[in-house]
Amino acid sequence: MNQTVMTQTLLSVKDLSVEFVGHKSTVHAVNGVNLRVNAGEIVGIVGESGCGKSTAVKGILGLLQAPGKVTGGSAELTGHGDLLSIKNKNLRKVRGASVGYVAQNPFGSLNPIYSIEEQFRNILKAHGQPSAKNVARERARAMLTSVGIAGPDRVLDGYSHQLSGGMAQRVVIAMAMLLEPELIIADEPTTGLDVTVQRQILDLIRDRVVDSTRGILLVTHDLGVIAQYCHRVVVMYAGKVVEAGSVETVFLNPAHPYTSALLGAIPRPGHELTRLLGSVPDLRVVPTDCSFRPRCKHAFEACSVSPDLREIAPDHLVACHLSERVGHAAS
Amino acid sequence: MATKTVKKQSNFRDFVQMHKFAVAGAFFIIVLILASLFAPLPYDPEAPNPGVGISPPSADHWFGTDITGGDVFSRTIAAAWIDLSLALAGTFLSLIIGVPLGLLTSVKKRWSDNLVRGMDAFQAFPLLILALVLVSLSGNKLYMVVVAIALINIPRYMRLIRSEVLSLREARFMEATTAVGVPLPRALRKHVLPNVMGMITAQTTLTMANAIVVIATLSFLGIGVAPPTPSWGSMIRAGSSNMISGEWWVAFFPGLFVLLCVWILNQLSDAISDFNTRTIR
Amino acid sequence: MPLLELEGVSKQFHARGGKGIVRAVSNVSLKINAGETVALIGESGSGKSTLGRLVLRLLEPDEGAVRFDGVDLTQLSVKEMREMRSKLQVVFQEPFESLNPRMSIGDIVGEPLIIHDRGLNSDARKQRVRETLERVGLSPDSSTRLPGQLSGGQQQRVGIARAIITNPKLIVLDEPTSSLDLSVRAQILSLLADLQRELGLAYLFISHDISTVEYVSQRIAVMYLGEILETGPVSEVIRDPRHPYTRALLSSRLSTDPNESLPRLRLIGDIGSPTEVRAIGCVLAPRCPMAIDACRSQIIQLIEFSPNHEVACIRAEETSDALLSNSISGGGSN
Repeated sequence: MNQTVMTQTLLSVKDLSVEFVGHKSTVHAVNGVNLRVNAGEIVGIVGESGCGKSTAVKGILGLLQAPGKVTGGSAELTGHGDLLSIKNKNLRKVRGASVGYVAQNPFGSLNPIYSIEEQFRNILKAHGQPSAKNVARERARAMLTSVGIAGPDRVLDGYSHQLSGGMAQRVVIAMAMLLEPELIIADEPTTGLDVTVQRQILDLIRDRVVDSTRGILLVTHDLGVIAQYCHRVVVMYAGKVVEAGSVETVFLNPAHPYTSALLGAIPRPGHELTRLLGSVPDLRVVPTDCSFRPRCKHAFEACSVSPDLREIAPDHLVACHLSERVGHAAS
Repeated sequence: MATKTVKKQSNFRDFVQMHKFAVAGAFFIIVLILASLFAPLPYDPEAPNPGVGISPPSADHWFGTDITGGDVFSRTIAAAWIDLSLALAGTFLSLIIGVPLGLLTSVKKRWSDNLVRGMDAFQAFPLLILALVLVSLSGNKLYMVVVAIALINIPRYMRLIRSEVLSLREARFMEATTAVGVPLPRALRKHVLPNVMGMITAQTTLTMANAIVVIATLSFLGIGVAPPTPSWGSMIRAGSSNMISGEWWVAFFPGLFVLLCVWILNQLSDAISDFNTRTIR
Repeated sequence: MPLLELEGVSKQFHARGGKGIVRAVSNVSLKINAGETVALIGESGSGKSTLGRLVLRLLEPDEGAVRFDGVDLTQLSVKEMREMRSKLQVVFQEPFESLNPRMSIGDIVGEPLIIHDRGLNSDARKQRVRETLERVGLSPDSSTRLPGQLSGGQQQRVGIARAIITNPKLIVLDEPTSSLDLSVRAQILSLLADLQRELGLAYLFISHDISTVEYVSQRIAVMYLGEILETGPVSEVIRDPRHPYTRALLSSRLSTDPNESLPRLRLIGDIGSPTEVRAIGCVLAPRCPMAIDACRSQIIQLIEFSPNHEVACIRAEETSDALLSNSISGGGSN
């Protein structure tokens, strides 16, 4: 993967916390997450279900459903200030214009009662851009062509239910990019799609950032997607970032036992699968120790104190006490 | 393998804890039925008291008296017995015919489709009017009121159970059941029925509420339960003429009881549905 | 004699809305030997799950024979088939949906014994349930729980326990790990491998994930739009795929090594519709960069390419990455 030299920060998330407050208990879904997306970069957030990766990006975008609530932190979008403190109405303007969002299920993002063309026009209207019929259609057509749709007119005149999953996701990506936002946040954009279609979509998303000032935050549970498409990766576990850094560093020299276990759980002929025992911790209790401790085969005394995320090498952050032991590599 | 330590049990105590209000309502209805049967009422509900005449609520007559001097409180409570027991009987009849019909018509056969279509046509008929005609033709026989309630509610049960069972049969665990080799009767008993029980219970409380309204409507129109036997519908009718002259209490209290019962039963139905979906998670 | 032998199995459905027919499975033949894992790989609409259900006779084939232990299942009466089911089991993709949410784990796992082992008294049955739960890595205490109280991985273990309790010879595994998290997936795959070794089970492993298939199976059959396009020993098919579709499927796999990238082959557009009527010609022709006129006008059948390795492509000899990537057509068309 090409290392990008541009270092202009697009998005900077600091200490993001999200809670789901219930009658009897509060789920601490995201606990102090830090991450950064630079221009020209694809940053992946990876983790298993319940680790808080989707919740975190929904929190950044102000898309959390009650009882979910951002309880702390900031998400600075360069040129627009802290997304978390923008009022609802203005946030809607920023979403779409400056941040595009692609959700996992494309059909959930498309309105079944409007034609695709009308939905493109509605986006332009909502953001006060020229939306005359011919103008809008021309822009939509250009955008659909750029996401690899060969017959854009047929798609524009049709409705979402006439599209295959892959086509619908292309349309959603085209919509997310219509206003040319600097940042695109894609939450499992290819999870429901077939493998031969998945790669087309990912290529498409990547083509948006190569040699550009744009950036992409990609949420996925698929390590292959991260390895092949992302520049940097953020590994989450139990609502926290446990490891972050360039993809090469993290994947080839994982420093957190959880990252190692995840990489070892991918079936490869001739390799014994890593058996990560136990299950994710109950997020209703705020742990004082390392949340991975009960499942970690390297756990020792120091793990009774929750480790901080610290830099162990340039652009390689790990939240693990093992990394403090000189010369130790987790395996 | 770590197992979660929270152990949930889908029992009655949990239901009471989660839906205190609905349970209190159900308790109220039970007390009402018991009181109407066994409690010593201050006055004879069926005996007129011409000496008293119509009078507003007072310490002697809590809900006031009607034009014949009958005590509205005693009559309202006494009416609960006849109204609620008829409603219960009608609901029971709907249940024992509607549920098997629903199960039967859930098999994908031509005759079951025809039966469902027939029932649809039947439902298109204004059933309340049918009930009215039936009861008056029978010469105001009370059992006909029960039959009328069943006629109205059997098609509803049937449709509901049928659609629920049809969607259950598509469920993956039913396919697994077939793959295990479970014969159909056992599959219906062990897999289908437990999964529709909650819905049946919720529907039954709704049917009960509907039956109370039907009975009140019929007796309001002078059909079914006839005076001097007290019933809420006929009491409302008797009191409606007093309304204009400001004597509100005669119709108000039986009306309030109909409202209360229907409301409570609706709440109870919601509570049961809610509990039903919660217990499997 | 193979444990399972499919011969010319076909299944059609009426398309939704009554327009035309869906050829879900067309003329499929396949063999599975005792103790062996054969993987059925394909994308959505490939008919792989339908084929799994035809094997189990959860669906009746329109044509063809399904011979299990030498007996044609399609000819059995309902009662005979029910008895056969103790030897032929299934684990589904959706762990929670495949368990009755109102039945305790113990009852779910014990039910096959009630049907197939009537001589067993209640105590003996409970003992077997406890043993089976332990064998799949669940605590025997979990028998009093409801499925909703378990995690996804535990639920799938329950599904596996239900499948093995009658000592079957063959288990159809219909995407058993697709809905599970990575670490849980590894646990389940290891469990399935252990059980196969200990109990001598044969698996028909249905999946869309090449890495999983490569890990678990000895032989592989690649399906596309209801037809098997390539079949053979897994190592050979993956090392030297001869069908353009297999090659594209392999190249769509994303390596977790950031420095390794596989050749980028793209099929044109999205997966075709199984409703299209197509008497002759290759199913992949509309998407295949290698397609020539003959691909659309000939009857294409599986032919032996090398011992045990069959390919349904008239250009199988020529198939190469170069041929496929030279003709890349950017993106998709509708």
